[in-house]
Amino acid sequence: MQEVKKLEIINLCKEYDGEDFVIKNISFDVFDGEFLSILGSSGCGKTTVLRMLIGVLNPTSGKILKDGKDITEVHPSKRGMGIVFQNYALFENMTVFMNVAYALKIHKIPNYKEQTDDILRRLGLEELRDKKPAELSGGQQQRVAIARTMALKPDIILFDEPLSALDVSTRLLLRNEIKALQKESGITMIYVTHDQEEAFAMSDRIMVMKEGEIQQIASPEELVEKPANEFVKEFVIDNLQMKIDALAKYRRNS
Amino acid sequence: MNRIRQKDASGVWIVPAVLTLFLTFLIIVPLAAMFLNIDGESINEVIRRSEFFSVIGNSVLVSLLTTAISIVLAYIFAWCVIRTAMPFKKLFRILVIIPMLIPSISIGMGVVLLLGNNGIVTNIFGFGSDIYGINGIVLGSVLYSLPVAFLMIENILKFEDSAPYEAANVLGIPAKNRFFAITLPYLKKPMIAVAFSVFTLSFTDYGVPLMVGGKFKTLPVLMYQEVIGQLNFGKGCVYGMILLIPAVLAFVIDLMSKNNSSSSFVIKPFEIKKNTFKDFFAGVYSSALSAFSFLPIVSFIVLAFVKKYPSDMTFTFENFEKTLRMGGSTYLRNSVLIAVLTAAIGVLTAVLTAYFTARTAGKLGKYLHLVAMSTAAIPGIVLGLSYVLLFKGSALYGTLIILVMVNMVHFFSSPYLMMHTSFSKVNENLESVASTLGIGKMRLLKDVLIPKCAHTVGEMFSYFFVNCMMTISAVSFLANTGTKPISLMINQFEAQGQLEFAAAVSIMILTVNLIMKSVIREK
Repeated sequence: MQEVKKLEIINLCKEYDGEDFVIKNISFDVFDGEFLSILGSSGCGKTTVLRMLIGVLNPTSGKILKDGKDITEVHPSKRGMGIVFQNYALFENMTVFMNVAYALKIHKIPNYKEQTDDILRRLGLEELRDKKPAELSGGQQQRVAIARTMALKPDIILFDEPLSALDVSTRLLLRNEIKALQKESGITMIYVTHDQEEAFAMSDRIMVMKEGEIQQIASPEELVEKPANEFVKEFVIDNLQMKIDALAKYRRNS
Repeated sequence: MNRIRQKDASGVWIVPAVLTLFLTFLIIVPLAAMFLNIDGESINEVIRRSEFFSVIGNSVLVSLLTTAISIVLAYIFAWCVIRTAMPFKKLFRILVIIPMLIPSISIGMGVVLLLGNNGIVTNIFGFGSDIYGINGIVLGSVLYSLPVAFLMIENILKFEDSAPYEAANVLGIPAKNRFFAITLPYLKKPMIAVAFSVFTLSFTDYGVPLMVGGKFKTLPVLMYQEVIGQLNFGKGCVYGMILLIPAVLAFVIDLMSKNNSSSSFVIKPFEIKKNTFKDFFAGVYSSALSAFSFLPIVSFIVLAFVKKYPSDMTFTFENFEKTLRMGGSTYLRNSVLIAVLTAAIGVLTAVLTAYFTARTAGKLGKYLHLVAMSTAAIPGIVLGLSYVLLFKGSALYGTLIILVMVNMVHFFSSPYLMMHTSFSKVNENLESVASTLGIGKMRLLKDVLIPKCAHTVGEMFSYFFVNCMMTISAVSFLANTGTKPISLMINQFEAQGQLEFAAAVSIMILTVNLIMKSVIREK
């Protein structure tokens, strides 16, 4: 299933006003229907890559192809992609319903009300329909943000550390919901995170980044078995091992 | 993260381009015209004048005294309001702030009415007539600047973090050490801003010294007489330059200090505990201060509503009727019209400008921000003079529009900054989300950002309106008999010695402003 290329990123570079490159000539493919995580510590450039993919940031050089077509210069709204941010970025003066319906209404979609209700139902938000974001919990707000991206029927959704602001139990719950949504809808998802565990739990493939460069892009199994370099081994494997060790230690003691 | 540049939808650049032209034309060009108008001869004449240096000395002395007294009084009062559980807080606060709603010249008049030769206090207690000169100016300027100083300091104290004090408490550090080790370092920077604001306010004000100055002349009065009295624009410009200095200095210092402060951690508010002794002291102090700042207003309420002070104290509306008949009704209408138009255009301009400076990156945004903030550094009379020089002879000169324009620029920086702050607090990813959904920036502004910041918009409107109603600085150079706002009648009546009419005008302005304030609050 993973052999159809959805996105091709070719020699992508980003620099700011003569400073050093933030993104140093990276190339990778994203397959249709896959769940790809971009994993790295803060400042490694993972969010910058995401912003260039969605089109709110112009690359200094390089190309982005979607379904074989060059979309490097295409406006964000014409890329068929949605984005979900860590801090939700909801329209706070609008109800849950209007947050989702707003874009449809502006684009004069005739049956926008039915479409919106349909999306709300799929994400289990119909009860919150008339509430404002301030009345919702963090997890509920993030569900609304996901619902909002679904309005324009994207075939790719980008996530920028969407669960980092939530407590652990909500995080686990939403993790499963996002995964389920992907399975059900077949939407390609690109998921930026700094959390190794999250990346391993959710991804078909993981792309590890450091200082604007790709260290390795591989399935979780391959990462564990054949880490490409010392950094990947330390940052990914050792980190996970530490948690397991900690757990094991307490198990022994009890 | 803030270095990330948003991709503009095509066509959106038109709005910032128009704003840039508009603000450059209204702010930078007039000032340039004023600088170009300065010639060596005028400078020579000004400097050779024997009283020149003593007048500068007077101005600096008055402003320094005002700043020191005003800040001390305001700091103690702000502390009472923020840190104690004294009763009647709201009432005290309102009484102290109300002088902000009347022109400085009215406050000067209040001082004369209370302590002048025939003043209320003078007549009752038999002291006070020393008021003409430096004493009166400092007293009036303190009254006039107190609300500004108080509001700024209140804001500083409100956002002071209590955690260091608690830590000091746990460590057993004595109170006086705490003040020097925690309070002073925290206050230093913001208090410098307060000091500069108060200093500039009193340094550039001509309302109070015109009323109570007597023979003690200050720079703005000299400039006013030079321009209005003798139509000597060249010399006026030289004075204007000097008046610009403290505010420009404050502006530059502010710009430099902004760059290295980034304290955005969580603030733990102070817990106010009941403390009988503290609360009692605060109550006594606040009663005294409220009375002090509200008495001038009481004095012209008395004056405006009696037949002839002090000989015939019968209640009457005569003073109001006469004032309105002598052109007051037209001028009042002018004032309200100017205030509404300025507020409407000012809010629109400030919202758009703030949107671009707060929510997009790039050099144009930085330039716009600088231009917008620089309006804070231009005293009203300097701005008025520069408009005279630039627009004299043009079709705009002598119209209501030029008064609206000059007022908008004069009062631009505060409402602009309010909006800038509000917009900066809104989620930084909103535009990114909107652009993926095909929602344009202007649309997002109208449907999401402005509704979210509706409260700020109301405050901005009221700020423009209230200040337009009471200003006598920039407009005094630009108004004619057809466009005159009612506030300028105070100067006129004062010159003719008809203080009861001047008092009536002050009360009308105060009433209109109170109505505006309560309407905005209701919303």
